[in-house]
Amino acid sequence: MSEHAMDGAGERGPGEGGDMAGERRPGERVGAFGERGPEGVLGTFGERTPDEVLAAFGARLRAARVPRRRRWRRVLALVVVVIAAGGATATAGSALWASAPEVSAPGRPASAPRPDTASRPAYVARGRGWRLSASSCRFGERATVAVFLTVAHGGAGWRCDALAPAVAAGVTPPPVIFAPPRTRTHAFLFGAAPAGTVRVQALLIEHGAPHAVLRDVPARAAERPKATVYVARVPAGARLLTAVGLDARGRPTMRCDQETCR
Amino acid sequence: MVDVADLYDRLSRPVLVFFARRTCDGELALDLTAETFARALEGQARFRGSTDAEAAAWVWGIARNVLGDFFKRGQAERRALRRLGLEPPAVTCDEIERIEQLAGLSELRGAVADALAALGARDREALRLRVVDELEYPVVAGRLGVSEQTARARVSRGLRRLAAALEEPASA
Repeated sequence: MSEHAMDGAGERGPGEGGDMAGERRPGERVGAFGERGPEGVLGTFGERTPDEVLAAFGARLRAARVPRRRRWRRVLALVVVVIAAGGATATAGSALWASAPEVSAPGRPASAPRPDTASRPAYVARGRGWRLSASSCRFGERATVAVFLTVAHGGAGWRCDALAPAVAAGVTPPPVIFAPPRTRTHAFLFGAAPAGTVRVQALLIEHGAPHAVLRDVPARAAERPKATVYVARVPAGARLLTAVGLDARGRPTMRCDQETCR
Repeated sequence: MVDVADLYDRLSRPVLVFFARRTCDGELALDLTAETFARALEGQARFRGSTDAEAAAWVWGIARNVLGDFFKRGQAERRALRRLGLEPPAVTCDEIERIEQLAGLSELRGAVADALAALGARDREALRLRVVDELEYPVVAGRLGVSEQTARARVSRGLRRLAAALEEPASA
C-alpha cells in the first residue's frame, strides 16, 4: 500500500477524494483520517473482521481522556455577572423553583431519549388547589416544554428525562387529563403549547354524555422558563379525543392526540 | 459510574449492524458507531441508571440521536470524536464489505427492492415523490391529483410495508 493511500482524504463527501472520488480500489484505505492501523501494523489492513476493526477502535476509546469540564469557571463568571448587575435585581425577578418529581426506572418509558439540557422546573401558573410547573427540555436543536401539575395529594405530568421518543419528537408533550386523588367531581386538563398559542380547543367525551364536547381553554404565556401553558377543570371521567392549539388569528399552532402533538 | 469500555465490548457490534442497516453503508456505520461511543464516554458522568439494561438503553438512545443527526444534516457528526482527540476507524474496501455482509445488506437491499416492487403503483409513486423527491405533502397531493390526507395515507402505507421488509431479514 502506498504512502499516498495512507494519507486519507479528509471529510468524506460526494465528489471529494481527487481522481478516485466515488471509486475505491480493493485494499485501498478509505478512512477519513490517517491511521497507523490497529496496533501500528500496516500489513493488517484488508485482513480484519468487523470485530477486529471494532476492537482496534475500542482500544483507542479506552485510552481516550475525557476533557474535564471547567464548570467552576462558568459559575464564577455567573457570580461576577450577578454582582455587576446588582444582586438585588437578579433575585427580584427570579423564578419560584418547583420540586422535580422522581421518576422510577420502571416508570420511565423504554428508550426515553436523554435531553441535552433540561431546565429546573419552575412554577408558571397556579389556581385553587393546584400549581403548574414547567421545565424546558432540549434534544439537539429541538426544544420542548414538560409541564407537571401538583395538587394537595399528588400530581401528574411530564418530565424532560422521561418522555417516550414519539412524545419527545412532538412540538410539545400531549395534554394530560389528571383526576386528583380524593376528588370525584372534577379532573384537570393541562399541557404546554407552542409560543403564540392563545387558546386550546379540546374535544372531550365527558362521562355519560352522548356526544363529544368541544372545550375552549385559554392559554397563558410564562416567562421563566419561556412556556405557553393551559389548565382547565373538566368533569371527572372525561376522555380527551384531540386538542388543537390556536393563535390570535385562529390559525392552528399544534394538533394533539393522546400520543403526540404535531 | 457506567463502564463505557464494557458497554462498547457488549454493544459495539449490534450498534454497528443497527447503523449499517439504516444507512446501507458499512463505512458510514463505523463512523456513526465511533461517534456514539465517543458521546457515551463523554457523557458517562451524567448517566444515572444502575442496571445493565438501563446502560444499554442509554447507549441505544445515543445511537438513535446520532442517527437522527445524520439524517438531519446528511453527514456523520464527529464532534465528540474530535473533542476526545479520536479519529473514526479507517477501513479498507474489503473490511467495509465484511461489515456490510455482517449486517446482511445485500439481502436487505433485495428485500427493499422486492417490497418496493410489491407496492401498488399509486403508493410507490406517492413514496417516490415524498421520500426521493422530498416534496411537501400538498405538492405530492397536487401531483397525484388527490387530497393531502390521501397522499399522506399512501406514503404512510408504503413506508410501513418497507419498514416490514427491513425488519424481516433482521429477525431472520
